[in-house]
Amino acid sequence: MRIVAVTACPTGIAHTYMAAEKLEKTAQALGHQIKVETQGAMGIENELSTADIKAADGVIFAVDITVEQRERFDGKRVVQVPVQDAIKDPKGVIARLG
Amino acid sequence: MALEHSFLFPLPNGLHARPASHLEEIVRGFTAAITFANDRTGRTANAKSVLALVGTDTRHSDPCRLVFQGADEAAACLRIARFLSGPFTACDEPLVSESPASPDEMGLPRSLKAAGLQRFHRGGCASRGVGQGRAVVIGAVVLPTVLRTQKAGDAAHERAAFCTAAAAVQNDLERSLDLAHGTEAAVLKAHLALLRDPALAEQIAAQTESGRTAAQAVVAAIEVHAAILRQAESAYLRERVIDLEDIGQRLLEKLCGPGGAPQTPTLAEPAVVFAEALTPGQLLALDRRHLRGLVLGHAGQTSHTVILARSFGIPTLTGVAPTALAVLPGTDTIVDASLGIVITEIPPGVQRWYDCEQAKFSRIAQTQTGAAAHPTVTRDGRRIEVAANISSAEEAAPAFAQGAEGIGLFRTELLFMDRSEAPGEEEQYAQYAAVVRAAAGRPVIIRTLDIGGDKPVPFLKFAPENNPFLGYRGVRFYTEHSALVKTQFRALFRAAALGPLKVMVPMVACLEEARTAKRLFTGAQQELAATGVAHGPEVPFGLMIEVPAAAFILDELCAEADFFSIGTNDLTQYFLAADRGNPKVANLYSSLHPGFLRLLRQIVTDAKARGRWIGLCGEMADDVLAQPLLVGLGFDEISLAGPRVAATKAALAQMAAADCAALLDQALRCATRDEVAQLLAGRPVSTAPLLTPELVAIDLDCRTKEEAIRAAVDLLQVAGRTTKPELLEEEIWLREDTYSTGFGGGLAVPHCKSAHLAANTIAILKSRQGIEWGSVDGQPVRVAILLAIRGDDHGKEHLKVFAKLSRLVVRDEFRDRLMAETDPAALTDFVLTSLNS
Repeated sequence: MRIVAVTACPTGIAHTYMAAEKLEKTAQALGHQIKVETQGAMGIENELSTADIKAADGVIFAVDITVEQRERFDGKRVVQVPVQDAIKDPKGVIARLG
Repeated sequence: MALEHSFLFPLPNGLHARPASHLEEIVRGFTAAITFANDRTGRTANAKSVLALVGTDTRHSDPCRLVFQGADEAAACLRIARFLSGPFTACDEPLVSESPASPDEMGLPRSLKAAGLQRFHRGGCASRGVGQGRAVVIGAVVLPTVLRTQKAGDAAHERAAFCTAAAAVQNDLERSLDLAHGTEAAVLKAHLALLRDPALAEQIAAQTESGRTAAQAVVAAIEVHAAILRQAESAYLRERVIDLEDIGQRLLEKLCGPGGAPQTPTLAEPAVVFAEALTPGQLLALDRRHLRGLVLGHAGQTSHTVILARSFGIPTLTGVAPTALAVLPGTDTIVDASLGIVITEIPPGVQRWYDCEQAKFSRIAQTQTGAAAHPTVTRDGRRIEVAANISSAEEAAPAFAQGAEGIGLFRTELLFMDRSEAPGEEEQYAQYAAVVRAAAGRPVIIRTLDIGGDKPVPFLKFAPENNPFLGYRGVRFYTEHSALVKTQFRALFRAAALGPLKVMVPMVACLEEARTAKRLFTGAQQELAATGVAHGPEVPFGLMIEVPAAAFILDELCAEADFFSIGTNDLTQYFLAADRGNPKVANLYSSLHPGFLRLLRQIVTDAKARGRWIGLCGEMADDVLAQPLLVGLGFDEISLAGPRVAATKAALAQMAAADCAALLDQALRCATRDEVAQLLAGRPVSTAPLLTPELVAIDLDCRTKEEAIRAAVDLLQVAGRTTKPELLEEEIWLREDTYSTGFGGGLAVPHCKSAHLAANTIAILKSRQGIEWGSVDGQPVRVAILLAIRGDDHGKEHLKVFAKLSRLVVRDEFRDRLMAETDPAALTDFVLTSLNS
């Protein structure tokens, strides 16, 4: 499965990156392809292109705040969870993509 | 038969001394026996005794009765019932807040609240620090030791002695009452009523019957009644103890003569001294080995008592409510002047919190002792002396122990105050000589008398002035009182024979004044030389720059002056025309006003251009934000309170003069004070490493999340990375409030963006017992990694490091190593290496 994800937390210092790391490692271990965009204190990094999003089979928002440039995902089914869930149970979050 | 009048008690503050004395005044006019009964407390009292009335502990709306029995009972009942529903209801002020402050008020660390802090009183911080000891109440009626065991004459004789003393006190009070208005008059009336109170008289009679002297009887009787008041439920009543003690004090003075006047208590164990007011003399008489804190009702921020307390590093609160001052002597007390609170009920958790606080202070002191022993030099080699301000010879030795490189200002006013005649030459010489000896070759600047309408001294008759700060003070009275000033110059010249002493004259506004002072100065030297008295050969003559006009004729003043020192407190207030003691304009009083900075630059430039030494001895020297500007301005010396010397030396040694000069340039270009303040708060991000072994705590004994976060903040404070630990703590908590940073597996990453950081920082705590953190998996946290970044750091370098660390901590192999490592240096190495890989 091709997955794209966005992570974002209130201060953008720690949890954004913890969640990104967890999602990446877990998806790879499960044999999925994944690209995670972080929206933290440094702004948007590893930005998802329109092509990335278009090609994705599943979209995960692991966020506690509003996602920037949300319109890029119009028409996509998005699984949105709190950042903590992605850190605590990344497998479960990925499973929700179906 | 008896008549009864029932009523609900009408006054909001209850039946305290003042309304009781109003009631007693009316009741006294009748012969009938009149009893006051409170049906809530079940207490009854003779209504002709203020003390007994007060002892009924009557509060607002209590069901009460008055019982009248005797010949004029009908008239009495009628009259008093009318009084109670009429004038009596208007005889007291509305209720002022009497409850102790609540811990939910702003500004207290969460960890302290979580430790169980519930009851405390607030005060204004006059001298920072924390101290703990047994409460000693000055103002409590204490008999001089010699009189305690004195044998009494017969009871009638002692009673007569008491009556004579009571009559004399009554006479004094009545005379004061003639001149008093408003609240003061009401208080005096209450005191008068207490004095003629039958309950007090009965108690005195009983005490003299049992073989006590009149003085001993007064002490015992006051204590009996004070004990009743202290048990009252109303804080307002409890604080009436002060009125009672005041009467006791007055009686003792009459009974024992001036020698029997209240004596300063002897401190035999760590003590916190409570007093409505404390004279500088009383403070100096206290044994400072045991004095851990001062809690004062009245004392201005600039009073000499407060200046002394600061200089000795005694934590001091002022403006404390009378309720707090009515503490039971001997109560274990914590004064936290830095947070502005005094605690007289100490739960175990709060004790533990303050034990940690003390441990932190000793760690900070240890890190500063290194710098204290050496002359202060900036990182790029600029020498700047850090000296101490003192106002008594006793303060010199402790200041030098802190690392003071000289005395930058010895205010001599204290020598002249609280006495009926000026100190003679010998007495002054002894004081100045003591300071010069303590200095052991280091420079000492002694300022000649600066008194005037605002600091009256009994032997100089100054007429009252409308505006004493713009009035007859400092050098302005030197011509009229030239003999007094010359005596001081003589004593100074003689002390200068013992070491490098410099003389400085205050409040000079024009060249004529400088010349007048200089004439007296050289006159004194000529006298000494003519009579062959040993004195310093060359004593530098300096001027204190406090009046703005002097700053603009510095070139002319150089003709008379060898050096200058800027008194920023007065110079700021005169330059900005704002009295910092006036809350309405205190915000205008700021030494960071760009105009003021430009003035300072001009003074320093002019002084340097003529080769004059220039120092600064006002409170600006103690402003950590302003200190880089002072280095940038090029002062030869800054002088501040002794206890601040070590920390200041350590801070200056971290600065680079070149950076300070650049910062000054920027500050001088600012348009407003706020811009300057912002600039200073946002100093360049320190290049200190993110993590050092001193920021790692292994085997930490923390029981709660609050304790752990506080311990992390303490690490930063000891490492010199924050000076506002309580604010940093709150910022970390604000993040925890959104959701816990405990992300499972025994790890947590508390973090914050903060304006209260000197440098971006990682700190690592390893807990001995595991801490309940509210983690997602419900497991206790074994390792907490604090990520703290400056709010104004717009660079991404450290954010990237934090992002990388965040990715690392969710990896099992990284976590396992974190858990296993027990050596701070090895752990630091491991984390930094992982971050760089």
